Amino acid sequence: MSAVSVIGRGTTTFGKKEDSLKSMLVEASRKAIIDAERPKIDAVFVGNFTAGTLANQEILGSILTNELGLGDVPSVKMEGACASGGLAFRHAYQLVKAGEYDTVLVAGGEKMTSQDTETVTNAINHAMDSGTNEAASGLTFPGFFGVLANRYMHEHGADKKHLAMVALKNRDYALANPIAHFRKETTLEDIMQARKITDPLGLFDCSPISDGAAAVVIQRGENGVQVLASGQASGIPVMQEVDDLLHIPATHQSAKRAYAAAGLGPEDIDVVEVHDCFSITEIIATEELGFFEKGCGWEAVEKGLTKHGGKVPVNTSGGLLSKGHPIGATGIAQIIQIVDQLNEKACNQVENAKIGLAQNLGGTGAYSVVHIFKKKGA
Amino acid sequence: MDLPIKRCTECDEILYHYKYLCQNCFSDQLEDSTIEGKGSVYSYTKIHAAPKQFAQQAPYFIVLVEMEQGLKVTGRYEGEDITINDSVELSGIKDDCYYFKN
Ligand SMILES: [Zn+2]
Repeated sequence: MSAVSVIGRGTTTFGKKEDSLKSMLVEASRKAIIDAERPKIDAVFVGNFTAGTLANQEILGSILTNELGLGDVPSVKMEGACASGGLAFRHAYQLVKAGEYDTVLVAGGEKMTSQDTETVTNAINHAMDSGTNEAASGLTFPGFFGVLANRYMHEHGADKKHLAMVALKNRDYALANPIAHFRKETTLEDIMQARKITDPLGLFDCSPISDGAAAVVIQRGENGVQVLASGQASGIPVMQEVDDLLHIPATHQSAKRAYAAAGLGPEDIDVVEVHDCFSITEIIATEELGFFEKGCGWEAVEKGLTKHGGKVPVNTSGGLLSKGHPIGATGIAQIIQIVDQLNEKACNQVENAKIGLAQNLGGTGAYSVVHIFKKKGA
Repeated sequence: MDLPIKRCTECDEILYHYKYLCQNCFSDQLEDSTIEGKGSVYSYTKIHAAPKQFAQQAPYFIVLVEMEQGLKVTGRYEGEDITINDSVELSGIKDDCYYFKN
């Protein structure tokens, strides 16, 4: 098995943008390829969730390959809801590791703001199983996490303030991130009093609808931040079928597999990006990844253990909550933040970070993928 | 009212009505049946931002109900207020959506 490294990275800014999906994918990819010093690209992987529904476009692999002038190299689009980017990265990584390709471009992008919120909510609902009575009930994707949050607070004694503290931390981190969707100071009070989305979650507890794209170039060898391991798992896409709603088993299993493959554990991780599609999801993720005991993630937030000076800084990019969540781009953008941290070029730089982890969730726990990275030469 | 389910004719497992096979014994010989429509609220949310299809009805309560005879079921609650552990029962099914009342 060969070592595989991330040798280039590029992103657009995230937010409400005029640009088309195609132009954003091209912009991020061009920057990544230039950053990698223009190597010969052997294949192209693209992560995207809603292009067919919201941007009236499929065959993104071919479109991007053509626009970049990469000729007839193999290309494909991968879909796994919000984990689309992470899944594209994982499968590209597996093929480089196996020796099929030397150098691969992995891009992810989403165009969401050109449609009204109800249409977008509808499209995002495709990340739940539509062939059930649950879909007919009017449960939304955020609604799932509202139900989870109420139960979590009931069982573990957390309250809305702890959810707000996650949102505030990620807002604060985003202030220093030049690509972030939200770069305005916010107070705990603003967050607590914001418009309700799905009780107990308010506007700031939910990741925004964003446009954007992100891309990396990976290559066999040790010429960059090294990919130490990739872990993936599936989970149950129907709320009523979940045994214990306070666990997201796909997150747990994907991490377990990645830790085992890397020969590392949560205690070895210096910096982490987790999938905070909602504030409660960050709390659960930090528990499932083994940073905190089950049911104690909210206390860790209260004690400041998830930021600089704590146990492990979580979502130093601002996370999905504040960096933004252009769905297909998210998994790649998380990886870019970890790569930047390990190259000592990140916003909110964590000193002496040598090992980093990125966790990307699809749906309400339908998919999870975890990657672990090592600083070059560490 | 009773809650429609499927029952595995091989191993007697209780399944959601939309299932095609029994995960317990892998049989596809399932029959329509019912369980009692009584349960208690495991958790809930009040949805303010709804997709197009349901936007006219927002805000509305979604409840996840733990049925006394097994299975958790997602449905609507039509009262003013609800909290965890409240007793509820199935009051109707319309367009495959389950409605619960106290
Ligand atoms: Zn059976």
